[in-house]
Amino acid sequence: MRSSAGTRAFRLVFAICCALILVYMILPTLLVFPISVGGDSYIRFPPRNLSLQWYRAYFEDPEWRSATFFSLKIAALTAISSTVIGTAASLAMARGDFPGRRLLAGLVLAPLVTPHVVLALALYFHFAPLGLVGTTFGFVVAHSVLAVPYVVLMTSAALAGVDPSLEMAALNLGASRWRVVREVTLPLIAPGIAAGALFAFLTSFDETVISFFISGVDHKTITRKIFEDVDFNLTPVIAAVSVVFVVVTIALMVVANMVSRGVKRA
Amino acid sequence: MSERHIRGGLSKTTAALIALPLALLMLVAFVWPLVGFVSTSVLDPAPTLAHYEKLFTSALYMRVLASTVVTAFVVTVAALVLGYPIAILMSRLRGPAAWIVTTCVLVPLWTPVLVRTYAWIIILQRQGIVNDALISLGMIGRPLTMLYTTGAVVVAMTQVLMPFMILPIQSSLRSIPKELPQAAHGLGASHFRVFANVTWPLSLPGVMAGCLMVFIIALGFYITPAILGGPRAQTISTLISQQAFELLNWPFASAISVVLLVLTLGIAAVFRRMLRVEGMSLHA
Amino acid sequence: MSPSSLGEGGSAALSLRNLVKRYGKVTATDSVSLDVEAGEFVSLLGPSGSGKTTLLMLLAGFETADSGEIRLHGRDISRVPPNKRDIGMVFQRYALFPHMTVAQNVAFPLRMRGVAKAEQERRVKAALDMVELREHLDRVPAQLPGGQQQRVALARAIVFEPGILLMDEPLGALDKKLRKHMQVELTELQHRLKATVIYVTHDQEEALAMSSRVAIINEGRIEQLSTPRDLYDRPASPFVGDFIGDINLFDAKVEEMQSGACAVATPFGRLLGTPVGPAALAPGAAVRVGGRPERLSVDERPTGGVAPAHPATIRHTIFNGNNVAVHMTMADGQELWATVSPNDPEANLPRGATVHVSAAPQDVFVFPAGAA
Repeated sequence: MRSSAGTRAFRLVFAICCALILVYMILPTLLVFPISVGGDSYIRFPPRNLSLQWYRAYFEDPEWRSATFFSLKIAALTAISSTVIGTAASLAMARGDFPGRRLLAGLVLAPLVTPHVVLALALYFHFAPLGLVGTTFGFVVAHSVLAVPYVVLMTSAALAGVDPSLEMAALNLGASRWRVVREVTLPLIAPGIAAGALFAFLTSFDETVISFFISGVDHKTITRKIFEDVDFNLTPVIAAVSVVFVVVTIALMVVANMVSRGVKRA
Repeated sequence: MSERHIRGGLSKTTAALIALPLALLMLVAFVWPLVGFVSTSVLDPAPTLAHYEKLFTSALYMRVLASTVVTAFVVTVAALVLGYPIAILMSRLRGPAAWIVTTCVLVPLWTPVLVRTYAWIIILQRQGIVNDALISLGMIGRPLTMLYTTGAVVVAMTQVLMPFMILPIQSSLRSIPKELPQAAHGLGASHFRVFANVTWPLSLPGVMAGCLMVFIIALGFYITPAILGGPRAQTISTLISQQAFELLNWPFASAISVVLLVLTLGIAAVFRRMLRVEGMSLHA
Repeated sequence: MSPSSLGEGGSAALSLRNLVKRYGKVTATDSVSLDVEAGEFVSLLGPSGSGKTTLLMLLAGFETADSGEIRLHGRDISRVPPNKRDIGMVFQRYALFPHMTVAQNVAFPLRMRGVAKAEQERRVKAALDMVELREHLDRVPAQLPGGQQQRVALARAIVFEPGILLMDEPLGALDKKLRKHMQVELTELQHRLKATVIYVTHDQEEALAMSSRVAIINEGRIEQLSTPRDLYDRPASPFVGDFIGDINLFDAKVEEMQSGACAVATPFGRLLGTPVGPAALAPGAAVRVGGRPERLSVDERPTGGVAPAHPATIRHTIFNGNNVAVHMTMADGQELWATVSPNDPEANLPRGATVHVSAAPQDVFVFPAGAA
């Protein structure tokens, strides 16, 4: 391709525009880092007098601590429950036939396209009379509904990639159907299950809308607390919390990405 | 043929049994609450269409509906216009440059929306970065009010949703065989014509998928409009939450929710006919 | 055509009776009957889509027949699930468990049968010894070349001493040289083990080289079940004649039946041939005539033998190293191929030269028309 002056000028303009767009995209994420180490008592950019005071404020505040632990707890429980339920269902749908299989396969993806506000209200509506608002159980159930589509997607993809002749061979060699699953199928889809579990954890940990509406006074998720403080108490503590939040999320996503990449290659 | 063997891998009872927990979860925690909630829009207090009447005859509420749709549309177009060049960049680059661009796209995707929205407050507020920069450059005398406007919502939402536009387009672009644009050039086409007649049409599946995702998410978005929009830039979602929790008018909130759901599912269904969203189909 | 059947199948290691399998409108297995003696090496040979793989799946238990029965050493296994049939199977791409080592792969069937650990180790070593793989037992399959993976698959299939061995085109993934080598090894292994083997392949050379008998499968039916020699010298149908080796095939009409032989009228002249099959051929009946290229006599002058000779024009000749293929046209335009030795004078004739073609009646097959 010949490169004329016009083309080169275009390329330059294109590069500059792209650079600006990329800055626009990554700026908000990067911004919380310098804010979180600001030495003043209010939000200031660029920050003066670097200090770790906001991180100390975060870790020493009992409300922030309990919100963080609460979020971690339900995220872990959600990861476990949705991974077990989702993997079992994926196995059933990929390796068995039962009435309503196609319906279930479609239904399980529905939470992905449902606006969270609507779901939040519907859940609150039903949890309130049952006394489930703000409870760990209520949260885990609600978050599992959101997380399970990801688990099913990842494990289904992994199952589809398993060479059918491997399971046939296991049967032929004398394994019962259950042993085939235990000895051959599950080990082979383990990366997909792990990726699904990580996605489930993050879905619960990062979830804001539903957590906001079904939080109780005593049991708040970290996201609800951030939301509240952004509305009522906008200090740089939120920046410190955000940094921790972002670092955890990105670290787990990188791991999940590597694991699911391994699944696709296998 | 192997599908047939494996299809018979688990007996009907076993399969039904291990799929049961999921079915129960979906029914009890998704279908049942939604149905119950949605039905209050027509059943409270007695079978009635009053809530829908109230919604559709109110100029105020209709305006909120309309502006939400318009906002979602604007965000989609903005995400497309800004995101397409990035997608092209991603599909052409190799090595460390590609890594940088990919990071710039994926990191925002993995940053929780809440955090990003919070950052936009810092950027757009009266003592915020943009105002500080503009004042120190001497371009304005007094700080602009950018927060709590629809503009702020659009700017923030576009940034939040751009990765959802970029990734499908990039995937589509990657699947175009390299020989095609080369052949077109060899036949004498200018860069522009190659783009218009080869690249763009072949990237359409990704474009459609991206537009679909961004539009649907933008329609139902809550966090960013709630935090950045303020009372003057209501969207369907903030309206729903306001009616339910502040005004305690659950049936009305339910009616609005139904409209939102119908809009969302309707658009999703229309698009699904036109394409299969990558990675979103199960082996059924 | 009629399959071979050996009595009631009481002494057979494997016995199939009228096995039928349909998928919707398609009949993949069309009433197949077969007896295999203990220690035999029987190949199921046919083009892709012929139904040989379906037959294998039925034998292994991954498909259930619509009707008919399968008996293994007299025991009816038609409804027995695949994990209880005690049949050894080697898959086309080995199907080795990628997350287990070689030793673990081979030990798998023993583990499923509850064999004690120490005994497992002993038998695994013995099986690997049999296939001559004594090192790399701690490696995973991906770390081994194709030929060695092949041996592991074999060892795993024989370690639990199954009643019969099924092999689904096991050498297909190997390159030509390795394939020939493995063919010899497999045959030797089978003799050492005195194993009964059912071998599925589409490669006729392989089937003929390794088997005691070959079943030619076409459209779900066994067209012929015979020794390789028999299949070649006495094909039961035009399909078999065409599938094994080369053959000239063309249409003709029966003129008259003579004792044991049959005179047919072809557009280029009269031929004497041998009728194939049980059906009697009436004069005037339409038939399909076949003759192998190397069995045709090509002479510059008619030799005056018993078989009728007909003039032909040489189109071209092809030198193949150890023979010369002669492409000819008969008086009516029918094309024939003959194979002659490079030392024959006819091998050097130019294009357009006239020769005379004849064949002994036992080398001219007369098949009923419509016999496929």
